[in-house]
Amino acid sequence: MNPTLIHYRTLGAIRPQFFRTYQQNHRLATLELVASKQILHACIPSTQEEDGQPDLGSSSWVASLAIEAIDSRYLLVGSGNGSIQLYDLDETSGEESSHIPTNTRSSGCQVLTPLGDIPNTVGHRYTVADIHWYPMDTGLFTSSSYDTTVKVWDTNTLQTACTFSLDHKVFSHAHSPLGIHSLVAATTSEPLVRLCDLRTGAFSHTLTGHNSQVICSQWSPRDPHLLCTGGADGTVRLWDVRRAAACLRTLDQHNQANDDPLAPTHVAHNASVNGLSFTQDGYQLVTVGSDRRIRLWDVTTGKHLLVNYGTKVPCSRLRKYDVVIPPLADCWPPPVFIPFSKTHEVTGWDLHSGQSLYRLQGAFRPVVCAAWRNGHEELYAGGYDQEILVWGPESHGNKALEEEQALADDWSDTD
Amino acid sequence: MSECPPEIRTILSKTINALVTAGEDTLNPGRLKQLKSYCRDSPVCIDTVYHLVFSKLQKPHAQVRYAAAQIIIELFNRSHQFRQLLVKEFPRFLSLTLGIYQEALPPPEAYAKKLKKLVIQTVKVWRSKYGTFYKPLQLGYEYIRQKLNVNFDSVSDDVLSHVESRRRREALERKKVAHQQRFLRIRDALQDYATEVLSNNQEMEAALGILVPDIAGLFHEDGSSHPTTSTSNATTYTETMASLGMAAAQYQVNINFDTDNLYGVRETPENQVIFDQLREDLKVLVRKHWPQVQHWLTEISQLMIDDTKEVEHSTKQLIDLKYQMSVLKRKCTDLRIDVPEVSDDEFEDVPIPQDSTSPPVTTTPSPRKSNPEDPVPSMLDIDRSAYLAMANRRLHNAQQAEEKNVAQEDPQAHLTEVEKELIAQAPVLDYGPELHYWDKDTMPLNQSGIEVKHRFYGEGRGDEDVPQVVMDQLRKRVIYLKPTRPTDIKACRAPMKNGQLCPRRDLVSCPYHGKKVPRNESGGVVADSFEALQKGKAPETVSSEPSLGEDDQLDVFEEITTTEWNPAGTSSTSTSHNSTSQIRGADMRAIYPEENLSHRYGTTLQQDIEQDVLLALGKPAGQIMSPHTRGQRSSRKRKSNLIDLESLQNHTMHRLKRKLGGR
Repeated sequence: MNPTLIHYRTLGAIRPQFFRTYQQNHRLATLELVASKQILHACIPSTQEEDGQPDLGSSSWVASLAIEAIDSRYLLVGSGNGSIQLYDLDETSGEESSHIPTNTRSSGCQVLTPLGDIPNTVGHRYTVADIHWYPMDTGLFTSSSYDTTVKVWDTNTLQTACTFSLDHKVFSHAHSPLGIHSLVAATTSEPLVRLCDLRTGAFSHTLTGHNSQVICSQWSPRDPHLLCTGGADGTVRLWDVRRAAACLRTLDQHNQANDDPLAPTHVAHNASVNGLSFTQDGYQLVTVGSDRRIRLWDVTTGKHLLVNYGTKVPCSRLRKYDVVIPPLADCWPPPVFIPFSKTHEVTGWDLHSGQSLYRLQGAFRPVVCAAWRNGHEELYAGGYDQEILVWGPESHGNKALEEEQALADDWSDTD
Repeated sequence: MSECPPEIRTILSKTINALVTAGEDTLNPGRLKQLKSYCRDSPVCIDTVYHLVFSKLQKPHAQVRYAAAQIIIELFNRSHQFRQLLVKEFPRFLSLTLGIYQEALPPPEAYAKKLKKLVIQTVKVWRSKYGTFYKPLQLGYEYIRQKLNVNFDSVSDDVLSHVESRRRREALERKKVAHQQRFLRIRDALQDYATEVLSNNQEMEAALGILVPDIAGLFHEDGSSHPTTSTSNATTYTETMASLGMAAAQYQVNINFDTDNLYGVRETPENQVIFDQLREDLKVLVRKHWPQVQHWLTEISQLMIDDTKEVEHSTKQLIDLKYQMSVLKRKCTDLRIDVPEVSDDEFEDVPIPQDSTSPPVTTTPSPRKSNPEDPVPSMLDIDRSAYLAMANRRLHNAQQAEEKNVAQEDPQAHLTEVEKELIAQAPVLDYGPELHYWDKDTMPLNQSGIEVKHRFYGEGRGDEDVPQVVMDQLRKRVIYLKPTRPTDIKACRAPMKNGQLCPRRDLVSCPYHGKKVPRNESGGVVADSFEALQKGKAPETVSSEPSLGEDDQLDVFEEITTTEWNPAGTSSTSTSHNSTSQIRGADMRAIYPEENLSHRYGTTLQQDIEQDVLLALGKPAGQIMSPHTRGQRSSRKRKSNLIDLESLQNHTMHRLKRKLGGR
């Protein structure tokens, strides 16, 4: 921490808000792989082969991640083979399980092991495409899978509380973060959005309007009844679930002067919309599409804000891409992180200027999903690698003397 | 961080370039020292050096990458700042140097292997030294160890080929599983099928048993049906004969075989049912069972199965079945039971009554397919050698008899000596129509009996004989001359720009150097022929006006090249450039096979040819590289010590092909 800044703050020369922002931005600017935390995902005993060869064939890659927002403590991992794991991120490193191979352990490293494990025999049959905590309570979480179901789980018993069968591959689902209602919007490979009511265990709405598969969805963090969905037809639709004619407007990339908010000419992306996310205040919306663009929208007016994030965003596959926007309390101006499987990295932009800020490398194979840990400035990303990678602020801890020596320059006299 | 001054940047860039393109296994120590001293003196340079070296690491040349990796390793061990920079992009570094996850290293292969080995060894060292401080190093090490399955303790030369070997192993395993499944399918099918085949075989056996009741006893020497069991007791030949019921051994026994019908079994209305049944079964055997068993046998022999016992069992079963069927087939052949041809299926064979004396046979006796290696009928259980000896004797006798006959019927016996002499002198000609008419003076014209007056053909002149002119023509022998193509075509041997002689072997004229003339050692025209040439046309213009018909033996290529030949500058008279270029391209390939040329004459000749061809095609001169520029180019190439990856692509033959193909 900058001692000068602390001194100024002690003197009252700078305002607390400035101090906070400065400190946070400084921390965010130094995002790097956290060496002190190791989340071994694929090293669960069942996937470790006897002869020491890693099991490459098993699809226990990480397909989805979720960190709860209440304590920012528990991490849910949906795997490619349909199993779900639960991790405690604050787990103390003393409780290392014996089944972790000793050679993967490194000194002073906190190795996290699953708190709970739902095998794919009990859980989903295919890839867990999306997983979310219930925003109000960590006792409940929901997962959706390519096996056409959305399942509601009891965290304490790790048992299915309810199963919604949608008959089509589920790409994503979403909870309203405000908790006014308990509707889960599920998007599937059919051109409908189904709203699953957790209270009744049945579908309450079917929103029609998309012409093609619906890839991604999110509820507005400001208006509990406002839902946003993006489809493979390139449209982004805003819905008010209370209305009979639910679709409020479709977003148009060209901001055409048009009285009809639902004009069929409105196209948000020239190819499928693969990911979207509201900012924490709910005023803005970020979408990423297969036309390799990222777009920023004003939710209230439906205008394209024409921020240039670059033209060759490596987003090409027809699946849900996580769009991670850290809460504004953590940083200002907020960055937006998107994991790209093609480049094996998580790329970060400045939300408002579109400037490329981060290229978080570290994975050796495609990165598929990412999650932000509120209050810790930590980004978790999972993919085909066996480990869930954690990027966090540079630790300005007390470096040991030997470390200082080891890291020092080593120029010999002859050089 | 302040920027590196541009002049230092230029120096650094040059140094790195020189280091990387040196093409040696170890870096030049002087240059490396220079680089290191820059990095040591100003930390600003490290950033620049890092980016410069990393850009070299992305070049598609393993040799360049190898050198770049060496520089990186040198600096990584020394500079903290450099370490931080590299560690940030460590996955990229590994993917560029090891070719991980769907990325492969560029050629040349030897350097790619070296690079892999170097990097893996280095990662091991780095990890032990800096692993605790740099997380990506740890991750990279784990990735190499676990996912790439590298044993760091014993890094062999072939270190990363394990990825390929693993892929191969996996493919092999998949193949094995597929083969196992296939084998199981065959085995299961075989169980059912074997019973079907066996029942069919049994049916045939039974039918054959009825037709030829006592097969073993049929062919004993005495014709009786006693089995030869008493020979062991018998001491002498006489006793043996006596035991067989023959008091004296002095008389001769003649056995006459009816080669058409060995067993005396003929199809009669009585046993027709059995014959039909046999025919039916044989049809199933030949058409269905035999190919199926054969197919399975070949398939099983090609499968890769670990469980050899099972395979052996199945194979044995199949071979047994096949043997059984082959025996049955031969028995049926012996009984003249054939399966009608497949194409005859729709039309039933109707026997044509040839003469009334022959027995009523419904099967048309086809000429017996004699098997010279094994003439012993399979159904007869006799001593094979004895049979063969006997057969030989008979054959010998028959030959002797024939020789006698020939001697008696000498066709020249009644001729006089003069005639014999004449015959000995006379040329022997093939019989043809002219010999047919040779001795005929007249020939009747109209033998049909139809009147000569005809509605359309008009009225004949009344001559009833073929006119004498026509007769003369008929008696003429027509001989078609086959012109012999010259086997040894002389090369053109006109001197070319590069000092060599033109190797083209055309019949009459070279498309580039005109008419072929005798030339001396150095390619100069021999004097007398030079005059002849002057009388005609100059070499450069001779073929601009093709002289078709001048030589009948011009082959197609020659015609095309001469007609389309158009020296540079003159207006094109060719009809279609497209077609010519294609033909030319094809011919060029045929005439100059690449390897031959490149071995014999080197590339300069090909460049000349390329130029000539392009000129001939009327390509604009700008597209042809002058020898001068080519020389510059090659000299520039020679500066680099790296293995030239583009040499293949930029080969003049490839270039020419591209140009010709592109049009």
